[in-house]
Amino acid sequence: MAEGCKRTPGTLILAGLVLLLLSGCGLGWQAGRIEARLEAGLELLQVYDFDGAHAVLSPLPEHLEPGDEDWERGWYAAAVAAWHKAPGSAARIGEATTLLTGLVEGTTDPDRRARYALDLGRIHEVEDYPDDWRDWEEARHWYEQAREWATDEALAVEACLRLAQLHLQKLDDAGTTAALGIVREMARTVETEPWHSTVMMYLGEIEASYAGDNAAALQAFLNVKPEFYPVRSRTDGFIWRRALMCVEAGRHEEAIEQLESILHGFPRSVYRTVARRKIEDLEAGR
Amino acid sequence: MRRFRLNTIALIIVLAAFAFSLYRVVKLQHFDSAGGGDADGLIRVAHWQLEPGFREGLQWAIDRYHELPHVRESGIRVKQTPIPEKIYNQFMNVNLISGTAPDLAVKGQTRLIQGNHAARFYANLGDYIESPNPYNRLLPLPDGHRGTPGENWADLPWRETFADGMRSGFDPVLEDFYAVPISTPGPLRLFYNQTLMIEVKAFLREAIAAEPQPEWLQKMWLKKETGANSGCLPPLTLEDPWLRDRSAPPTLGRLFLYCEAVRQYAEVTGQPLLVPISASDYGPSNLPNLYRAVFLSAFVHETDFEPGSGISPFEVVVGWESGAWSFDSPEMVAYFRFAQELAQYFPAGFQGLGREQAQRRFVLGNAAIISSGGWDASGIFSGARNRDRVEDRFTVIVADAPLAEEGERWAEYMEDPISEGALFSGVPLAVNKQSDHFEMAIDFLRFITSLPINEGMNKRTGWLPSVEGARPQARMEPFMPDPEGIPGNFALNFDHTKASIRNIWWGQSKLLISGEIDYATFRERMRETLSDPRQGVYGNWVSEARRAADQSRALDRTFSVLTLRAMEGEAAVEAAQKGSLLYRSLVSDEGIQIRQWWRRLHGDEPFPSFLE
Repeated sequence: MAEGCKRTPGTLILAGLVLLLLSGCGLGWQAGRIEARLEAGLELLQVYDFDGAHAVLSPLPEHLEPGDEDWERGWYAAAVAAWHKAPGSAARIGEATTLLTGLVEGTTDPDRRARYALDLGRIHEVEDYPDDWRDWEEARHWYEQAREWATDEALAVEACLRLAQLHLQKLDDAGTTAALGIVREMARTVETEPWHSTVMMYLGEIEASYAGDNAAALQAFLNVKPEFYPVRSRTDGFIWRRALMCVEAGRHEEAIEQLESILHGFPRSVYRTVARRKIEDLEAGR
Repeated sequence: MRRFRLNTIALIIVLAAFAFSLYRVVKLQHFDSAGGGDADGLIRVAHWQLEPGFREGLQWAIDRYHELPHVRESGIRVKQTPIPEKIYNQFMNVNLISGTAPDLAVKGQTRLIQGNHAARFYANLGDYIESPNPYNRLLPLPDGHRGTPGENWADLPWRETFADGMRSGFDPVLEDFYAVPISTPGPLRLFYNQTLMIEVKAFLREAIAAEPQPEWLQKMWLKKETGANSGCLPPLTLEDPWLRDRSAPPTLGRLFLYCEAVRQYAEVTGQPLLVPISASDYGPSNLPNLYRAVFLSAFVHETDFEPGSGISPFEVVVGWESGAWSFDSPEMVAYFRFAQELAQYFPAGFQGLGREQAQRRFVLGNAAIISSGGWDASGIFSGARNRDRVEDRFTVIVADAPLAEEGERWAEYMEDPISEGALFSGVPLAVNKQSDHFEMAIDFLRFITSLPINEGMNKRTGWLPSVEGARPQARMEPFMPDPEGIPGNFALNFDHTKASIRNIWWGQSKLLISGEIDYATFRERMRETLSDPRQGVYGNWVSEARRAADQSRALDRTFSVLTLRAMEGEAAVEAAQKGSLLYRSLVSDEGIQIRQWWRRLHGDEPFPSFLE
């Protein structure tokens, strides 16, 4: 990235224009030209210029076929550019969906297939443009596929949690039960960090916010290792929340332990005074 | 004939002014060409810190940088471009779009860089900040340095050498670091004119000793009359140490007493321009603002959807809707009563005054007190010290805004101050991706955030350093953030609520505090606004759901770009980064949690669906 920072959007746009000019002059779509165009498009994607990237990358896929060296990179980059180009439209989303589906069909690597399936699931899950129809069944299909294909733990966790979130969006008891089942099962198998803490954190949120079971939520939150709390800048706030839940559950010793960890581990925390007060209250009540 | 001559002279003046402006524009374009530097090797640094001392301090650091052998060899020169705050965002918008932005610029709040867009213009510094800052090894520690923060200081990653761990440079949407803070502004404090303090305390001692005490003084002593409080504090005797020393009022009751004494002193000594507090429309010099969070922190347990996380702007409004608080809540009524009583010590028409006018009044000796942040300290100190006549110069005392002690009025609302632990460093400089001198711009940032240079620079700017272990000027020590107190996010804060609500809140609060409307009118106008189906509580739900959807879309884009980076093998994307993005994407997903909260509060009533 350090080197990448020096490649400026202005230069990249110029490079894109030169490429367009060259292709317009009849120099065609030789491998070198494709590669240069792909590199220029990837550079634009790295600086979140999806519109510019789409302009450069959208003609690429028709010149790349499975088996070509740059086929997978080119199609995926073009799919991402089409997906995130603003404003979203049915045509762009259709373009991204076609490319990603082609990638799923043409790729044998299970984790790559899972990645593309996750993106397809996400595209179907959310509203990308006004009047976009959320096809949750299709999204579920792709998330389940990703879950089945993924060998990498990060992808497996993502597939699992996305599938659970899809169930939660129904906002009914059946959806909550289904989501809890999926996440609890994942929680039993995932071991490495930060994924274990991420899953536990999410499980706690579902228990607290959707199932209304604070005891189960607390149990999940207590399994989150603070150093892997997903929003690092708010770790002290998370520990404070966990301490309050311990107090509510009558687990005063654990609450004191949590509160003391704020005092010892976060010298600048805004929760220091309230943590000290709470410890005093709890110790007075012993 | 005479008229013709006058017109000719006027025309000549206009043409001369135009020619001079044209010359300046051309000269600046020629010598300070933008576009991230120029062929002559110029690195421009844009900021809006026009406070006295800041530019001089930064220039000191720039001059030291120019003395380095490798900088001399490279021919690179660094030049600061101070821009007034009011036009800064506009300036940056235009220049970022046109590709002519300065090499280094304070990362402001312009909409152009919100969401993922900062990454289009500014460089990701993630790879730089994890390696040590070489200048911490190359440069000697300042004289008399205590040796902190330890022997391994020079080996720490650059990020860990900052007092706030560089949190102020972190972009939560892009999940990476995009700016380097060079100074810390310092929290709000009260500035007192010590000369007036001595004179007014003598006047106050005389009044306390008088038999009988003057009527104005008797009114200050706390008493219960027909169920309502009047006065501010229990009667003081001459033995009270504060009356005999030169210190600032240590309690809120004594602050009110001091303000009233200043008012009486001004009248007795014939100083019509002298006021107790130099307030203005500028938020930091509007003293009630310092106390608002203290009064309004009582509702956190009833208003917080996620216990412990504090009250978000969205929850402020939902709290009113659910009845967790109201405009009849004793804390709310007491806050506005307090603010009105404090405002009687402000200059007439203070809402029409600006920041500079308030400061000028204070440094001219026409106000006993002014409130502001550390960023204004240098200007206030130097203004008071450099008055033309020696006899007009005065010492400035800096103190915390005091709370009411037990037995004083409002003590029941003021158990603790607000914690300053969340105060991050400021002046976050981002690096323009288009800079022709990118590596040297990074090198300059490393230089000014090395411990010795950051300390030396901020001793001159009059701000607090951003680097851990660097010491401020002695007179800035009272501005060191104190983490003790209650979290600021426990308070009801309308500052970031939906614009239609926030604007009415601010407008009506000002009218109420300045006495132009009464509390019943204020309450009714707020009720009308909050009850409005589009502008009020329903609109609050819709806009929060939309904000969450936008947020999850921005996170999706970041996720895709990180995935691409990982697939290209260009950089190892940390699992923690991906975990954080995934988790935040899930919990903010399409505003579904907002809808869940709606369901908790409104049962089966359909979620509001109108377009804003």
